[in-house]
Amino acid sequence: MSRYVIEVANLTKIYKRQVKEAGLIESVKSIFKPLYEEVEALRGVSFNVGEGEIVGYIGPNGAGKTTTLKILAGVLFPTEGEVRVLDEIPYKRSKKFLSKVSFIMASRGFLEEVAWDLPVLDGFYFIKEIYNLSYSEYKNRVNKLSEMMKIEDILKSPVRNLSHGQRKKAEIVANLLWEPKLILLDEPTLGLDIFSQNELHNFLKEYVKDYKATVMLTSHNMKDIEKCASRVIMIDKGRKLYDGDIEGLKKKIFGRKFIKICFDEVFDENIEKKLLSVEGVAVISKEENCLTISAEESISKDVAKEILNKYNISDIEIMEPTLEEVVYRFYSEGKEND
Amino acid sequence: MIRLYLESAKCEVKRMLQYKANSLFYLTVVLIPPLALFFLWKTILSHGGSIGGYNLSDMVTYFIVTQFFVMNTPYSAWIEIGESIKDGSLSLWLVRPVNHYLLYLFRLIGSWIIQWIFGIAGVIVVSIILKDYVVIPKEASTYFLSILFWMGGIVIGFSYGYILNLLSFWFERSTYIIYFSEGIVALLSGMLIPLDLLPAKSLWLFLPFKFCGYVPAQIFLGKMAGLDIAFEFVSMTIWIFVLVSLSHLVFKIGSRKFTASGG
Amino acid sequence: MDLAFRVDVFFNFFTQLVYLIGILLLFRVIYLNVNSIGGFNIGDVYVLLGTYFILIEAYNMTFRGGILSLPETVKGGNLEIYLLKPVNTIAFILLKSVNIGRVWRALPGFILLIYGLKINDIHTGMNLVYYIISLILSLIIYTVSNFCISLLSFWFYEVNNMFYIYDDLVEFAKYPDVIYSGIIRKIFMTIIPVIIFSSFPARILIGLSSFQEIFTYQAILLLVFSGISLILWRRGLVKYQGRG
Repeated sequence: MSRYVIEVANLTKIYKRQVKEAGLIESVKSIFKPLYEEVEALRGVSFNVGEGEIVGYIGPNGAGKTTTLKILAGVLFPTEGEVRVLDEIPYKRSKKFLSKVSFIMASRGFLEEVAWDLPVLDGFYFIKEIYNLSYSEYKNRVNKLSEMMKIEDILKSPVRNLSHGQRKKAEIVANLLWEPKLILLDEPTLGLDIFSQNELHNFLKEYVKDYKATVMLTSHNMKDIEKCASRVIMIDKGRKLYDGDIEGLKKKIFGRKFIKICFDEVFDENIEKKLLSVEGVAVISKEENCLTISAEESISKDVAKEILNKYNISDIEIMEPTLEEVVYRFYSEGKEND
Repeated sequence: MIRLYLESAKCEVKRMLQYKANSLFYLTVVLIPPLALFFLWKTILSHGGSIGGYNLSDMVTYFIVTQFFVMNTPYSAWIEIGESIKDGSLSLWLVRPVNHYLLYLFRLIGSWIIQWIFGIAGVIVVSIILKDYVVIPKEASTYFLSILFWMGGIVIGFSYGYILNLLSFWFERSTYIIYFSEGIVALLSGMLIPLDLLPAKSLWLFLPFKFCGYVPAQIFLGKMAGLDIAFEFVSMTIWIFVLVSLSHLVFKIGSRKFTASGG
Repeated sequence: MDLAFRVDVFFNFFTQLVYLIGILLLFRVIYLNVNSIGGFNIGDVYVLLGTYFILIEAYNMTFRGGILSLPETVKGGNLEIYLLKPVNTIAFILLKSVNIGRVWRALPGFILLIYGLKINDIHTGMNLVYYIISLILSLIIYTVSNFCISLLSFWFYEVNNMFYIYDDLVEFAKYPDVIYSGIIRKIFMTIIPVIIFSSFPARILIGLSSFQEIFTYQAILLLVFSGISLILWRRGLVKYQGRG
């Protein structure tokens, strides 16, 4: 019995894609002699995930995130490499494996597929039959999860009448009714307002704690990762670039703090020059009477003290770079995990 | 395990009940084409006589019965199956412990039940309209056997359509293969003309599509009895076994090719 | 755009061929036993069937896609996409899905038409021009009647089955109009004029009817159906609520 929930070693996935030039003649040519190109969606990706972890799996569009999740869920076959999830080979899609994993996709959901015109509860009941839950198990879980996600009052509404956010929440409940041990989430907050996003973040953390589940989620919304995940894996062009905690990533990329200083009046250039003369200080942005600088972490406290003593300021704030800023810089500068 | 498939059928029945406006239309779908053919055959056979052993009553009854059977056989399975392969939503089912073939068979039966009920009503209505020309069997066994063979035809038709839908694993768009084959299967089911009136009839009578319309109609008309029925039953069972096995094999092979595009 | 899907190009053509073969086999069997069906010999029936297939494929190639998409657009509350464009909305809807891939499928219809004329050794002359006019009128009446069905989506959630029923009714157009009698004939030559779609142009071409009487009949039908569709369109727009 493995100590890891997910074990991925040297995972590679290559797709074959048809290509043709634009135009009518090329269209006719492609009927008789189609051309194909190979696309490497994943290249030698390796990582392990333990029980109870919430892992953020991030990367730009086309990086291979969804491909990875689909391989972990058993939807796709890897071209090379080894994958084990909950001690099973996912693409064999054994009943035992499928009953322990939940894959919540960004696109069309299960409730939309089977219960579009029917009440949400009908869709839930179908899940009950698929996963062979007893009636009491089903009832208890519907009540508990609906309460956690705050959707008790929409259970009798047809899915087509729900707002996007409500549908998403109902979809998440539907995909957790059988208490899966591993939850794979692809863009879970896509299209949700900030209140629903917060509810989902809290829900996930609570669920993992209560049910000892493991979560792996992809998202372009860095708040999802910051609020939920303890660890991030970053990929780009099919390769793993970073695997570690968020703090480590911030230190690695920036190793600095941001200090925002707002002066009582419009500051002059001399102040800026004086601050910049300190080694390790850089200007990030300027507004009318505010200046944001970055300083190495080791000197940030001293710099802040000196500013407070020397100048008339109305406000000072020491901030860490957001994960969004870190990730943006990471991919812009093309740093690699060593 | 059968409960989950029954539940899937139930969901489809509930879904179809939402569309009350469709009920009347299921009735008319089995009513209209036999009416058109009735006028044609009445003009041809109005002075008595027969063609290939079919008099006017036989022809009219044949077309009413085959129209119901063939129009209510899902021989394109469900276009959604092929669409789900193309748009990646097949993933929704790959991650669940269900048999994809059985799931769609039961979903399809569920979605068609209302249509069948109204279709039977349509058959009754058109039989009343054309009562002077329709053959009504007197034995319950005739109705039972006709429907039994038709149900076998449903499994055959569905399996055939299912396999065609799975071609989406290999072809960018297989919907036209399915539409093309609908025409062939309608012909080979005997909907347009009794198979025994066609040239090279032994070929058409060997293929499995006869169970979707022709064989149930022949039983209904009393033109098939005893040993013939027994022989056809064995033949139908073999075809069902072959097509169901092939369906599962093609799905297994095809799902390895699945790229789950989208998302 | 169909050319992008290579399998479809071939099957596009063969689909039509299969349906045609089926109906030809039916008539072949029939004409082995009779010489004429209400004055239509086998060559006349080929002209009729050829006309039917040309008409159906002309409709499929041009207006069908746009008309079939209207109910979904109304249902989804997306009609603003068309209403807010600086063009005639009805024309936009009708013409938005012209599908050149389907031109292949009309070929069997043309072949059958020419073959039927050849069997009967018919020299068309001016009748060919009248035939084309009558065929165009049939196409427009068919289009407008389908458009009326699609407009019902302003009031009914699901209208697709109405299209299927209408397609079924158009089956009546495959056979010579003379076989129909009684109330069926009355209904299907007026309120739901399916019988005339291919019979009328075919009659002109094979010389069974005069252009004047057929043209008058078709023109009146066209005016009536156009009027109905405009009323339905205006009332429908009022009812339309748009997307919430």
